[in-house]
Amino acid sequence: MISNSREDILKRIRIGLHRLAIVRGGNEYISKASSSYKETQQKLEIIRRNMIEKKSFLLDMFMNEVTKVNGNVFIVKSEDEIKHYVTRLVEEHDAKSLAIWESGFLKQINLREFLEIKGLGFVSPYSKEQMAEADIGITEGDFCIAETGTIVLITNERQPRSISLIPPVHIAIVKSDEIIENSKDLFFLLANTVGESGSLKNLTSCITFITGPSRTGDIELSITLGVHGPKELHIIIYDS
Amino acid sequence: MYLIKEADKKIKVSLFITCLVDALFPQVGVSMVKVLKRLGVEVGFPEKQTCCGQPAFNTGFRQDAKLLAKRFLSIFDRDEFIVSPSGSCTSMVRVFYKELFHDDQKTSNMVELLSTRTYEFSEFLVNVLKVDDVGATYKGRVTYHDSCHALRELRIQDEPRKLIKSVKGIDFMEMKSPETCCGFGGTFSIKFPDVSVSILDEKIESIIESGADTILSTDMGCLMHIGGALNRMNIPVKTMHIAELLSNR
Amino acid sequence: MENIKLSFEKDSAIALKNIKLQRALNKAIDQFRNVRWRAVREFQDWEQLRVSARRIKEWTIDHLDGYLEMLEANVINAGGNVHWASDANEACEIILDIAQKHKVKSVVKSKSMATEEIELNHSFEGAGIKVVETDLGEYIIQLANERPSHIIAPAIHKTKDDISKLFVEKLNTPYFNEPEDLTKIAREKLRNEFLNADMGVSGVNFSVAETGTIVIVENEGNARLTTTVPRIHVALMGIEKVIPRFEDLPIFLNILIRSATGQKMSTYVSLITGPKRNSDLDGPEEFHLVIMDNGRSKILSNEETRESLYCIRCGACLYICPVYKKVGGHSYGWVYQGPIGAIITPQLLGIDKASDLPFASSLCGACKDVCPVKINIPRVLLELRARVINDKRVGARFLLRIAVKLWRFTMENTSFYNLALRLSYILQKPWIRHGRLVSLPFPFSRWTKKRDFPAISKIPFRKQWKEIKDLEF
Repeated sequence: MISNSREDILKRIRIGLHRLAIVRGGNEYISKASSSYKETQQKLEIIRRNMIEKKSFLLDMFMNEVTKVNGNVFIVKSEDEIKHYVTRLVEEHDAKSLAIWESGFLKQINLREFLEIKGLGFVSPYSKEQMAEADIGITEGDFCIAETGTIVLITNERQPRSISLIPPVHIAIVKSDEIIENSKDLFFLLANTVGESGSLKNLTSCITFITGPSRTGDIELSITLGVHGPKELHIIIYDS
Repeated sequence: MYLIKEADKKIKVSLFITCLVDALFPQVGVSMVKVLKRLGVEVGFPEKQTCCGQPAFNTGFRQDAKLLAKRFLSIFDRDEFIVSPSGSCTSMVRVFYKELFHDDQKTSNMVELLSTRTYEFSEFLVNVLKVDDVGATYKGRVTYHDSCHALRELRIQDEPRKLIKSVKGIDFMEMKSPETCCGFGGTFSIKFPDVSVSILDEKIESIIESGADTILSTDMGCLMHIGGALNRMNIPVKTMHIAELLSNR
Repeated sequence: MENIKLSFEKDSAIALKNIKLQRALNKAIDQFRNVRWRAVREFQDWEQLRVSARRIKEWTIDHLDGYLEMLEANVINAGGNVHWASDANEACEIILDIAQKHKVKSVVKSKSMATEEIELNHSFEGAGIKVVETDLGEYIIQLANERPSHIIAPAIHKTKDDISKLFVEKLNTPYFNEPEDLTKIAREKLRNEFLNADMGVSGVNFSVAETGTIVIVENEGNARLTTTVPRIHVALMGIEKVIPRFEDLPIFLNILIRSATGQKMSTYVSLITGPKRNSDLDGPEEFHLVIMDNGRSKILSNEETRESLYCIRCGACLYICPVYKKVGGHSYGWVYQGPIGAIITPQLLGIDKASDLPFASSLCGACKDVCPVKINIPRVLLELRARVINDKRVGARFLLRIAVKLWRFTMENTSFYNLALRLSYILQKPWIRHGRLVSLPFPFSRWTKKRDFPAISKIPFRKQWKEIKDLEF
């Protein structure tokens, strides 16, 4: 099938805009040159400082918002407490099979090994059939948004997407210094920190925002949880 | 009761009476004249005026609308203020004429000049004459319906309410969703009568619920529509233009 | 699509008589209006947000060719494939072609207006490929073999009893009448579909030119499953969906989500850039982005109506519209409903195919006040009305034309006008009851069927003026 649609569409747009040639004027709007490197760094600095200085305020706001969207939050002060809460959730749900991120912090606290010793089995996201059998998925969160109660998960080789999606229960372990006030600051931070050398070049395949458990209002607008994604979302906030 | 100071006495108003009021509701025009004269305004009526062209514009007959608009512009050429008992007809002149003549620079300029002097009656009283209390009295429970054009094209919302609340002896209450359309929409009410009436039914319900015995508005289009159903259903609620209320003593 | 001829008049009459639909619409719309109002009010700079969003849309559409090329380059750079479709047929062919090359037997879909627009499901079914809608509302609609009636809540017109009966009939389940149970049934049925599907088809809420990212906003998680589980992901977008920068996203997420559902943030937002990378453990092996025109460049070419393309499909104008509230989505006859449907449908399908729609509005203007990108819908409606009247294929009926000319002629001449007033006053007499007109002949009967009409005054204002002009009051 040989199609000239690409050229046809672009040509129709150009004619529609009364232009003869393509105007890549778009670039000037896009380029970050509009705000200098220095300005950007200053702004990032302010956002980061806010995250530290307003931490307890942001923490409260975040927890409040998560609760509003039917999520559960726990604050823990130690690694042992994390393990305690995870164990409690595993027991409450009578879980046999788990899926877990092999990411930095979870590795560091040896959560998987801890649970394996307790006799729990783990499945790999390589196999969607196996994933479908998992009772609980455990992930970290890369960032949190206080204003909306959102956790942000950035996909990479150790942080697969389906663990926060396929099992009926999702446990996310986040750190209290990852909480950003609002989505505007978050996107500014992402735009200047993710991708190759923080330039948005070569982004990872997926960035997911999660705000509460899966929900639908499609039947007479009555809110029902867990229609496709997890029915339960538990966020454990590590505040050391 | 407020009277315009000696220095302001020269405020002159040309009535833009609208064809609806002229033919069907002349008492509204008379009331308006009473209120304005009592406030010391010099009132005139350019007798050549007929229709501003809105029905043609709204139904897509732009050429016909343009002819009537140009005629309107020539009739109301010299006057200081143009005041109309209709938010809709005022919107036509102030907002939609610009639309109609956007590709005609010369007429656009005339429209620009004219539109700065054109006012709906209640906003003219409150924003130009700076009057809230015109010394009217009324015994009754009233509610107010926001005409769509007055509200969303001219942003008239507080003005009529200020005037109403200043009337002595009046009992004012808001109905549920006063800003929701009554379903009139000019020719819409005839093109899709069943849809129009079902929207109207909801408005009637809100009016009844409010407990008012009188429904007020800035526009006879809406009131004709609402009143048409109230009459048909034998519901004892009166429709009244705000000018009629304000002329009552 | 060539044979479509929509009739708002006929379809709305059916809707008005459907008591169940009326009840469902009333309940749903009142609730939606309230939550949306709250979500908008609690956001401090809502007006500023609207202005920003509008400016970005204007800028992007004015430089659309450049941004589409940039988007294409960045999707390819991320390992994705980009296809261009001039019209609905070509878009279907492209997607079908991808499916057939990979011997796809079963497809899962997440909610997408664009795929509704091209009737993609028909193409799949015609080629013997199973296709399953996975958004709960869309799934219900697909089982019932209907069309969605709302952009955001496709099954807004169905009661839980309707749905229970539908599940009993189509899925052989027992009769459950609780949304909770019905949702559980759907979850189980659809889980199997996800696991067995070879291809996932999604729409696109926004695409970011500078990164080649597509953004999907949802609450259920079905779009995440659609774009994660099957080995091929195809996303279909209209050319107007692109925005320039990654940093523009918070603006658009805020206005879309708050306007659409009254949430601060939807449950899931996915920012997808290309297929899974080699080192990733899950995600689709292939990613295809189909960029579709299908009449949009024609809308763009007309400055009077270009702003129709700024629409982000939030559905806010539907909830607020008094006409939509009464007639529901199906009366608009096609994929896009309510005020936005009334301006987009005639432009995409052709003004002759939907000549009723620009008139299906009381022009109350509530839609333009609620629109998060400030589309002046009444202005566009009026422009389209003028096009209908001037269109030779539809145009105004001969008698209407004559009537308008006659009316205008009367209005242009004060003495004819006076004469007309006098004549009407005399001619109305046979129809007057208690000082009002209660049953007039056609076409005025369309008014008097349910409403009285005031009698024409014996002494019009202009005559009374002569009496009062010199009086003091």
